[in-house]
Amino acid sequence: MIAAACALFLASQTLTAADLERAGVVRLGDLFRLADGWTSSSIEGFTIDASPAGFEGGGAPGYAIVIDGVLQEFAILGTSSPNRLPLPVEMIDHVTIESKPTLVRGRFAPAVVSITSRRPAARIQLRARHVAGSEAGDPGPFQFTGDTTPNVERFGFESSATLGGRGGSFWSDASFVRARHYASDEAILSRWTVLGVDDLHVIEKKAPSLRIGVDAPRVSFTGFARASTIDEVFFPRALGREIPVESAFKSWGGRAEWRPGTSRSPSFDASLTSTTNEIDASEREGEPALDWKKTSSAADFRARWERGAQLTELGVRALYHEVAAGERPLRGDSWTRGGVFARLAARASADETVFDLALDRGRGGATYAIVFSRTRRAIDFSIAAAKTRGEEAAPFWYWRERGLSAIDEAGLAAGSRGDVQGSSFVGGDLGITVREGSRFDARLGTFARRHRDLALEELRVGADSLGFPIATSATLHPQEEGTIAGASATASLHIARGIDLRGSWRFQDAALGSNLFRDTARQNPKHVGRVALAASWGASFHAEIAVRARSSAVWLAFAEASRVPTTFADADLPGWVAADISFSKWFAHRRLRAGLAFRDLLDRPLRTHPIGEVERLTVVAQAEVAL
Amino acid sequence: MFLPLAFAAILAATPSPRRVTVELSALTDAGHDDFHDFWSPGASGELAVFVPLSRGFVEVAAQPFSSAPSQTGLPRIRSLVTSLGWGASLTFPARLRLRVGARAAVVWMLFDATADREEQDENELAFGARASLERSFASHWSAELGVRALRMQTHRPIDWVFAGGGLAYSFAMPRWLAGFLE
Repeated sequence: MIAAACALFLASQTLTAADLERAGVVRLGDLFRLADGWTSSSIEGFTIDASPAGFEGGGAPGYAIVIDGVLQEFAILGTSSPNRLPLPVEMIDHVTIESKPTLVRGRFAPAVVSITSRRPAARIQLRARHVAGSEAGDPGPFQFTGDTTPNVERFGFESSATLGGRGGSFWSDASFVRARHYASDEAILSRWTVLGVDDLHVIEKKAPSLRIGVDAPRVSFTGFARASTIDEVFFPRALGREIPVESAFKSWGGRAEWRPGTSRSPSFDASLTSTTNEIDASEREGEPALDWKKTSSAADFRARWERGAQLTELGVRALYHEVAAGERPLRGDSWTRGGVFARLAARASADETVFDLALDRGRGGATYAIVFSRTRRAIDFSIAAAKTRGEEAAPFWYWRERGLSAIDEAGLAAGSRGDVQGSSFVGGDLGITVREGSRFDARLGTFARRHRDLALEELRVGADSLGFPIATSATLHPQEEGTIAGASATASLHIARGIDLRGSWRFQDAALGSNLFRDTARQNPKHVGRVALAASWGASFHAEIAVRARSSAVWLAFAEASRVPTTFADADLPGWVAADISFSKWFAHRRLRAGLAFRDLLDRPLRTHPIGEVERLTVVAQAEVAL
Repeated sequence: MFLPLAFAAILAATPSPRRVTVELSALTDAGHDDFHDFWSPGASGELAVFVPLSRGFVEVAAQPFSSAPSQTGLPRIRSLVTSLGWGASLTFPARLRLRVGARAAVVWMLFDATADREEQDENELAFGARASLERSFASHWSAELGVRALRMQTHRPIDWVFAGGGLAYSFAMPRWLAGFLE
């Protein structure tokens, strides 16, 4: 008989390095294939827009990524792809995914992906990986018979290496990632070729990073400098078509922690980060010349008191933003904000109560965020409320109001029904967890998200004289509102030694709201699910077979374009079911690893964006060295 | 659907004897497909190595073959199929052993030059399966008869079936190999 759980809280999901190896994860964006209830979309297969449960359609990313406790600022004008980050996948120790509203050091996020990386444990350590993949569907010998079709080569490769070492309490490592992805799908290649750059279909990423750290009993410090440069094609939604750009991410900073000798004394930690996100269309002769650079600097200081089962945190933080668009100065292109944040938490065996609060003030007015969560035996619930800033609500339009002229230069009939302003949010999650010993556990959940003063784009994407998609009109509606409600279920079953079955399903729909809110919500499939059977033999051989499924989605903005056959656009994205299988084997006492993964084994056409590629059967081979 | 079946087989497989087997086979084309309207695959050989795992065996194989054009203007195709597979074996009385496995392969193809096209090369992904019946006739040696099926995942899939037989030599797994597999 299944008994109610006492000490199990399944509202968050943890993926270990072994989980990522077994599932054949290649790039950071692949994490979202494994995340319960998440969906992702992509035009060319490299830039990934991921969405947790809830509403995705405003400008702000629907989630935050935290690496080793440091929030990553990686969004550009409303597009946030984790593949921009320089972290090599093989350096991930584990990932925790909170698919509900959360506060991260005073910053509100609808969901949080928290990555903990590996650190060197020996005097000298090397970890390197090479991944190569290809998609099936070439013409092969039939290219000589008059029944030919275009060649297909999309996946490209990803190589990375990290050399590090530790001496006493000091450690340091340096990584380099190089990746290449080919956009050769006929749905996009023909229009990209017209954009005018010979090797445009080759997306290339180079990403170095350096870390130094001290792990002493009472003091720890980590300093880092990371960068990535990607030759890619950027898709500003308000334009409805792509622009070739060089995209850069540069981040440096540090985090220090001081722990007292006694348990009654508070501990302190502080962090300082500066991140620059840049897209440079001029570098790649892109039209319109969308040159954009945003520098975000953040500093915070936090004091923590832990007394028995009670935790109290108080913190202050300061933010500085600076934005530039090519040679043109933007009005109000820099500002400073400051705020305070606090956390009160109490734990007692199976019960946990957490209250988070953050207040910010500065340019754009005051903002706040409150999250209260409680777990009592088998029941968990949380409620959250937040008010966000204007540039988070609709970044492209916010900066257009301040002088970003790329939309007007493109000759687009763009307009706004009012000023971009901050939006407000109220949401709640409720779940019940059941458990039978260590064999079976499951969580059934329900959630609702209420948005007000959302800035939503009403787009009409048609076709230009060459038949390629381009926005024919774009209007911003800054005071939209609506409610998304849904349900979710996750379950895992331990079948036998080394064999486990895990499944998740999520349903959501617009329960209330304006027509534009409902239309935007339909871009996300109502149903998303994944079932995976994982098997391990000893510590060295792992295999997984998984079935992913999602229901249909409708992108009304592309309805006009989908009536033009040469655009390869389709406003109605059919639902699909995909099967993946992957194998991973360590050799030579975990010094060498080989991995082989097959995605979309049934070779069904999968599409996640109206003007995006159609994924088919793909094979991915990995080789990893850990010395 | 070979790989999901292979996955199920892995779950059911029993430990293999710790012996490595090297097999050399002669194969002949035994199938018919759209490909055969344009090319005729010739006789071929296959070298395969079977390494036991805790469940089943892993197989590495290479099979070269040449396909002659049956229409003018088409190039001769020289192919090399390199396979990585997993399988299981069943032992029967009379020193018989049935060996079945699933394979993932890369087909490396070299297209000869024709009147209007230069020589070119390509490689394609393929999936397949093998089944063979072995009978040992000495402590290390056995003879085998078997069939290999392969589907190349081109836009218009190409199916090949090869049948034939050969000799296999088995020996105890070297310590360095056992250590490497740990």
